[in-house]
Amino acid sequence: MKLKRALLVSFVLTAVLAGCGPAPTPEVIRETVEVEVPVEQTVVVEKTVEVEKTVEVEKTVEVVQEQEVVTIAYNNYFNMTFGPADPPIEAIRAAVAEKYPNIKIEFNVMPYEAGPWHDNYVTWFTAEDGTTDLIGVGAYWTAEFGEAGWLLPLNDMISQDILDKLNPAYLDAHTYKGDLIGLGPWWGGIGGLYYRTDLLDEYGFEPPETYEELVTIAEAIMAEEPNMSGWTWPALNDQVLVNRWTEFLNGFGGTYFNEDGTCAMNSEEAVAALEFMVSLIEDGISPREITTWKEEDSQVRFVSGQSIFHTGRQDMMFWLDNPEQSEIVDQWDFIPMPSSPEGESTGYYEGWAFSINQYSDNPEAAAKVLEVMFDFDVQKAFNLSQGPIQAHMDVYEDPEVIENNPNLPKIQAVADTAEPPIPSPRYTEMADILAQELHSALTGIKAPQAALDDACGRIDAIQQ
Amino acid sequence: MEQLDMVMALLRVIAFFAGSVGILFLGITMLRRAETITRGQKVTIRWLVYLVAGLYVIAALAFLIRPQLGAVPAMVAVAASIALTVGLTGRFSLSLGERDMAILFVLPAFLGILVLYYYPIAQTIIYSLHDLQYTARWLEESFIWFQNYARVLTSTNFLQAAGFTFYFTVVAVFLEFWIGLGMAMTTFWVSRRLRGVLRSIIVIPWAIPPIISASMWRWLFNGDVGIGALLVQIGLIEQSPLFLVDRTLAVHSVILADVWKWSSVMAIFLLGGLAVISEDIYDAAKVDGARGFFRFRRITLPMIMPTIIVAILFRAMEALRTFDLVFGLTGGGPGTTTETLSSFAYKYYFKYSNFGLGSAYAVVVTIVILVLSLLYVSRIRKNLRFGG
Repeated sequence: MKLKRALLVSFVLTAVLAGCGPAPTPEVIRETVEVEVPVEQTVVVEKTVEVEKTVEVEKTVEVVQEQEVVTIAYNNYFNMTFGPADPPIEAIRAAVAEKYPNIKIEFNVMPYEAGPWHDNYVTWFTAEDGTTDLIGVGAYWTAEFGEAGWLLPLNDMISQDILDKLNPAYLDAHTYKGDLIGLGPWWGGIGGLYYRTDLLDEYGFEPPETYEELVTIAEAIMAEEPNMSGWTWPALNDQVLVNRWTEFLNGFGGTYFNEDGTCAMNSEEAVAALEFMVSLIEDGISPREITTWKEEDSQVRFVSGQSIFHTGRQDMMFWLDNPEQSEIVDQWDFIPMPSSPEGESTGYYEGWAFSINQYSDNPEAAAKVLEVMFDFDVQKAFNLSQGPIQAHMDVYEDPEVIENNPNLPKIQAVADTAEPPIPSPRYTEMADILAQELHSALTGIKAPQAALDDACGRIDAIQQ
Repeated sequence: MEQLDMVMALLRVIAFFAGSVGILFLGITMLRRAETITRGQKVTIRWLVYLVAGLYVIAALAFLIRPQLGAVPAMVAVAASIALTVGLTGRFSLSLGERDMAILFVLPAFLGILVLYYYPIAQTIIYSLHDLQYTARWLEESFIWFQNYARVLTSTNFLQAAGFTFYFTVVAVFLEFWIGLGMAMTTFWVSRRLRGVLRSIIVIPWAIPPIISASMWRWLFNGDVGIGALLVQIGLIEQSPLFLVDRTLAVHSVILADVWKWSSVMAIFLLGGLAVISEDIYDAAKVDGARGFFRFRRITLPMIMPTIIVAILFRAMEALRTFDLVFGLTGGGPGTTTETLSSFAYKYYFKYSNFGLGSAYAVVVTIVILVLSLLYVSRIRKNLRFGG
């Protein structure tokens, strides 16, 4: 019976022990310092000699500074560089180490794809987990996370000097009900039209400004070059399709919502836009395969020189300019999307901001790091390494940046057409509904009008 | 340093679990003793025992509301149990009988299952009865009875997904069974050396994670570089078919990918069943003049019937829950043609942060699968006898 009793007692003991974690104590560092002390010594011969002697002195130094850890969540692009600068995470670490030596940066790697990335956050927030302090947030989640109250308002946490340097137009996309809940864009993407300069020159065309012009050019060139696709864009049943559709919707003069907040995505203009998209596929200007393509699949034909027009983001430029991967180096240009006379040229804006987790254990330190990240040095280093659209306006006037990225003026022209994602807390669900209904129309399952009516019915239902 | 911290944290967790088990065991043992002593005694004392037992129930319910909340009532329950027994016997004794030891050994596993398995299930059911958006704090949100369930059952998309999932399950499992059986039997017909190689090959599709198979098949179905392009090159067809765009083709392309991946599991199951059939039975049948097909029909099939039933049950349940392979392949498209039942719970829960509705979807899918499985098992119960 002794054994059993011992077993029981040890159970109780371990339980008690488990309750007592280590108590936080102020850190005391004992440091040994070697000091050279000149000593005067009197010798019997009555001669004063200077002797060098080493004396060991024990010195106690009280260090008050506490080591703080700030964890950042972003995808693995933080570890990459495509230009003459360190990867972003290194640049941030160096800048933070210089300004706040007691802050240590940890990096939490997120998935590349926005969907799983978002879902991870939802899990963390629901569990009220504060491990990760600074989190990369897509502009499409601003309303959702803002409505849920998962991000700290930054208006009073970030110094005005930094805020003044950031482009106010973009900050709007990361503001929800008056609260600035993200600094951005850290990385911004914009959709525009790529075209083959050599082909358009050869057949004597100017770059298109309207849909009609684009179709005419594509048909004329495809008649001569039967293996060439006219216009490629990703149209899988996925968020990418909704992004591209936004450009057509605005290009035909449509809007997301009516004045009263109800769904306007089945308006006359919206139906015309979708009918045009369907006609592109039916007339063979866009290959039928596009309905199975995500972003990466869709780029292949243009990069390998088998497509006249392509819609995509500005970051594809790095690929197009690389002779090892691209068949069309120096044979392309990037311009604002075409539009119909009733609408306006529109590029879909995908911005990624940084926000502070509302459950963060350490919001003050996180705010300090956030300031460093959006200060000039880190912003410039990021532009040199990855060259996106950025919030900090001074970056675009820096001679080193301009020299490194000769495509900047092209990007600037397209950036003026930016249109943010649907501003709704229910964005993710709406995007799914739109992707399904738009895809139904593009694959011939539903007529455009019916698909958009269904979409609006479902969207209005979840808005109530 | 960090590793050490992690080891310490792990040790603390283990110590905490062991401690909880110990304390709970102490309480339960004491209460059982009090129950034994008071058996047949005064009603008032019996009531005391029931009262203390009730404290444990309260602790469990408090745990369900918030795990931290369960600690205090549990402590009170344990203390009350000890006090009761000490008060009844007049002394504190820890001598343990055989039954006590049995409980001690079962308790850790029981607690583990309770916390990791039944607790989430209970939580999901509670969530499904609340209007939870962006938050899982159900105590602070409104209780809406079965409104979430009403939304689930009236959702046309969900019903359409149910249709696709059942069709997918029936066709895929049927094909997987026959192909798997073929593969399993083939390994018995070839030479011993080839047998090992063949069985290793069979395992490969199964070993590849579903989401990776999905991207693999996405390229195979790609019109420019996949199977279609190959058929065009050979000259069998003129234009590459759009496997994932056409409705009928998309449904069957998904089934094809699933069959490719899961036939091997079926084969592995059936290999086990086939291996136990004694060679003597076949020899005896040959002597009696039974032909190949007859031997298969009258000996092989009946002998491995229990294995077949279990294998089909497993695969059917898996197929009903299918999500990653199909979703990675088509994203539910074209339109909503290949949406599966399981995708709804995932979408509402993780994508739309609507935990109430997401939980309702999860509960409905669970009930559907449970009912179908029970029906299946009860109908074939007589075949489920292994051995004797």
